[in-house]
Amino acid sequence: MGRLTLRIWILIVILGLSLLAIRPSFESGVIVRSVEKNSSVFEAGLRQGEIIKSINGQTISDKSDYAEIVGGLFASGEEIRLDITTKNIEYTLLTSEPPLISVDDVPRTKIQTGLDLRGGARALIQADVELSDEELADLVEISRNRFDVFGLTDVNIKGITDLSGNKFMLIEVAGATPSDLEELIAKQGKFEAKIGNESVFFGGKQDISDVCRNDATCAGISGCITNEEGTEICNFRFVIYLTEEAAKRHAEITKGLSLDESGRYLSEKLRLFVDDQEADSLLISSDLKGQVATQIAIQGSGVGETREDAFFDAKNSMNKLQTIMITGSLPYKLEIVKLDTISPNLGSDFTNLILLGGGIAILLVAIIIFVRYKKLKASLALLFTALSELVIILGVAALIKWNLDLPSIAGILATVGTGVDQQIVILDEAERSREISIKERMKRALFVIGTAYLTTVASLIPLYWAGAGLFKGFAFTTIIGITAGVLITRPAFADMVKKIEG
Amino acid sequence: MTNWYDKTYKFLLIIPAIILVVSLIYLAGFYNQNGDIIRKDVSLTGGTTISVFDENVDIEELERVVGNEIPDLTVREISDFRTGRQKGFFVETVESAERIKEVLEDYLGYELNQDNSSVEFTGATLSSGFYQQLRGSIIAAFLLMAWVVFLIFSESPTIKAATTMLTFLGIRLALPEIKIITSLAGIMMILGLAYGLIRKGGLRESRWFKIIAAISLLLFFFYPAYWLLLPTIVVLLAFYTIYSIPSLAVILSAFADITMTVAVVNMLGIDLSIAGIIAFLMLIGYSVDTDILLTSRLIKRKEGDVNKKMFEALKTGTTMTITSIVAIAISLLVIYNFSGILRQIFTILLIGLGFDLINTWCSNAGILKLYIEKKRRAREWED
Repeated sequence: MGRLTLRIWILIVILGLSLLAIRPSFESGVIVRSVEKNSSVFEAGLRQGEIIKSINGQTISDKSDYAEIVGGLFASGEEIRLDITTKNIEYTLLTSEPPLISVDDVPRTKIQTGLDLRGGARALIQADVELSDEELADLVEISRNRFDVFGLTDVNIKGITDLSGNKFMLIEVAGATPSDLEELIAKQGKFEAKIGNESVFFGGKQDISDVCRNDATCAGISGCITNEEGTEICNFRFVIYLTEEAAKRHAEITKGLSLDESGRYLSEKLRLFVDDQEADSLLISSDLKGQVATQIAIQGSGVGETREDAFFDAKNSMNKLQTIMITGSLPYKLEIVKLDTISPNLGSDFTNLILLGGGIAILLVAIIIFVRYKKLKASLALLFTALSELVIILGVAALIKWNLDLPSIAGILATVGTGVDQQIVILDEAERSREISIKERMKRALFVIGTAYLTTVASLIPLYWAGAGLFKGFAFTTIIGITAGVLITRPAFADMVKKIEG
Repeated sequence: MTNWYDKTYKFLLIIPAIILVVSLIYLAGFYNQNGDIIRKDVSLTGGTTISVFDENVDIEELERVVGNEIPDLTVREISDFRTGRQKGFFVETVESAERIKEVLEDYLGYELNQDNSSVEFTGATLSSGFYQQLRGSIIAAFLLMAWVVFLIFSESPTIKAATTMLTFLGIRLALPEIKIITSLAGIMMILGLAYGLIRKGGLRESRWFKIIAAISLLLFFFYPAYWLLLPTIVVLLAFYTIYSIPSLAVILSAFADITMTVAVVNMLGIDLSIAGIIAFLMLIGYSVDTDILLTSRLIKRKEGDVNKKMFEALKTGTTMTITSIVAIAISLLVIYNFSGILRQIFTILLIGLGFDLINTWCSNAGILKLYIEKKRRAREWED
C-alpha cells in the first residue's frame, strides 16, 4: 500500500489526541456523587467528587465493594469509628449510621454525561418582569450565594437568553437533588422586620450592613430543650448589624411603645416576615426603647422528634434567615417554568442500550457496504472512518467538558449516519468510470460533501438558542462531527480509497 | 433499462405528486380541525412527564384507575430491549407535577423520589415559546438550505446576490429577537448587496437585483414585521423557479419529505415533542444529501449519457439511504420501549427517509430529466 499520505497521518494524530482527551482510566474506588448536607460525613469535610479508596482499611474497588463494607460495618447499629480514605486525604468520624452519601463507580473516561443520563435536577426560572442583562446577572449572583450558603457545590447557574429574547436563569444540580430545591430557587426571598404594622428594616445591604455567620462567637445553636410533649427544640441565635438609617428607624418606632406587664420588654414584638409569612417574633428588651441600636440579635428555633432532628432544623432555619438577610429580596417574583428531576436509575442501562444499538447499526452498515461493493479493504476503511468520527466527537466533548445529554447523543447518531452516507459517495466516485483521473473524481466527491456540509451547518445554527438552549447539544455534536468529517476523516478516507484502488 | 426510464419517468413523477397533494389536503383538513398542523405533546403544550421505575406494577390497571382521576393521562411501559422485561412506566399529562405525583403515590402506595422516579415539568408559556422558536428555526434552516443549494446550482451572479438578500431578510423575520442572528443576517445582506453591485449581470437580472435590494434593505432595517415572511418566501420561490429549476427540484424534494412525513406522523396519532421537531431539522440535512448528489452528477458533469449518470447516482444514493434506514431501524428497535425521545426521533427519520427515496428518485430525478430534455430540445432547435 505504500506510504501513508499527509491526510491519513492527520487523521491518525487527531485520533490519538482524541483518545488522550477521553483518557480511559482504570482507577479503582468509588466517586462521591452527593453528600447529604449537614450529615456527619458532611461535617467531617467529605464532599462531592472525591474518590473513596478504602474504609477502615478495607480497599474499595467498586460500588458493590462499598455497599458490602458499609453494610457490614453498621450491621450492629452501634457507634463506631469510621476512617474514610479518599485519594488525597483521610476523614475520621464517629457515627452509628452509614454515611449519608451516594457513590458511583469511578468514571472510566473523561466523557461527561448530562443530566438525562447521570441524574440530577434542572430548573428554568423566569421573573415576572422583563429583566435587563445586568439584572439577570445579579439574579444569578444572588442565587449562587444562596446555594453556597446551603453547601451545595456541584451546581451550575447561568443566565440564558432564548430566540425570542426571553431571559431565564438555568440551574443545574448534578446527582441527588436537594428536597427543598424548589423552595430554594423560586422564593422571592423577601425579608421584612416589622413592629406592629410598621416596617423597621428589610433584607439586603440597604438596611443590614453585616450578618454574622460561621463565627461561633456571634452565631450558632444556643441550646436545646425537651418540652412537655417530648418534642425536642433547639434555639439558634445570630447577630446582625443594621445600617445607621435602619437603626434610627428602629429607635423612632420603639420610642412610642409602652412596656409590657413584666416591665422587661416592650409591648410590641419585632416580627420577622419571610415572603410575607411571619417566620418568627422577638421580644424587644425595654432598654432598647428609643435607642439607636445597630446591633440586633436574631433568635429562632427548630423542632424535631429527636435532638439531632431539632438541631438540624434549627441550623437550616438559621441558614435560610441569614441568606435572606444577606442577599435581600428580589424586586420581582420568580416562577419555575421548567423543573426536571431525573433519576440516575436508568442511566447505565441507557448507555449500554445506545452502545448496543450503535454497535449493531455500524456492523450492519459495514455488511451492506461489503455486499454492495464486494471490497473488503474499502469496507473496513469505511468502518474505521465511521468509528474515528465517533472518537473525535467524544474527544472534543471530553476536552471542553461538554455534558453529553440526549440531544447530544441524537446529534452523534445523526453525524455518524450522514458520515457513512458521504463515505459512500467517495467510495462510489472511486468506482466510477476510469476515464477521469481518480484525483478529479475525489475532488468531485468532496464538492458534493462540502455542499451538504454547508447546508447542514447553516440549518443547525438557530438551534443553539432555540428553547432556552436546552437542545444545543444536538447542534453542538452535529457541527463538531460534520466539521471533523469534512476537514479530517473524509479527506483521509478519500486518500485511503485512492491507495486501495491504486 | 435506460430506455425504460425514458418511457416511465413522467409516470414516476406522478406518484410523488399525488402523495404530496394528498398530504397537503390532509394537513389542511387537520389544521382546520386542530388549529395547528401537528399534535403536540406536553413538552410543547406544557405539562408533566413522570417516569416510575417499578418492575411489578400492572400498567393497564394503573391506566384505568389513575386515568379516571386524570382524563388526559397517557401511560407507556418502559422495558429493556435485551430482556424484554418491564422496567417501569411513564405517564404524561397536562396537569402540574404535584397533582399527578399525588395521584400516582396514592395508587402505588409509596413515595416517589429521585431514586425511583424522574419528573419533568414544563410550564405552558415556556413550552409555547419553545414551539414558536423551534418553528422559526425550522423555517430559517429551510431558507438557508435552499439558499446554499441555489448558490451552487444556479448561474446568474446578480440573482444569487438578490436571493442572498431575500434569504437573510427571511431569517431575520423568522427569528426576530436574537441579536447575533440579526447582526449576522445584516452582514450577509450587505455582503449580498456588495456582491450584486460588483458582479455585472444581464440587463433584466440587474433590474431585478436593484428592486429586490432596495425593498429588502428597507424592510430589513425599518419594517421587519413577521407577516412579511410569507411574501418573502413566495418571491424566493419565484426566483428559484425562474432561474434554477434544478435548485427548485432539490428544495421541492426536501419540502415534500417534510410534508409527507408530517402527514404520516399525524395519521399515526403521534404527539410531537421537542425532540420530534428536532428530528424534522435532521431530516432536512439527510434529505438534501442525496438530492445534491444527484443534481451535481447530472448538471455539473458534462460527459456521459443522462440516463446512465442517473442510474449511477441512483445506485450510490439508494445505498446511502438504505444504510441510513437500516441503521435507524436498528436503533429504533433497540430503544423503542426505553426512551420516548429517541423513539420519536428515529421514527420520524425512518418515515422521512422512506419518503426521501421516492422524492429523490422519482420527483427530483424526474424534474431534472424533464429539465435536461427541454434544454436539449431547445439546443437542437437553435442548431
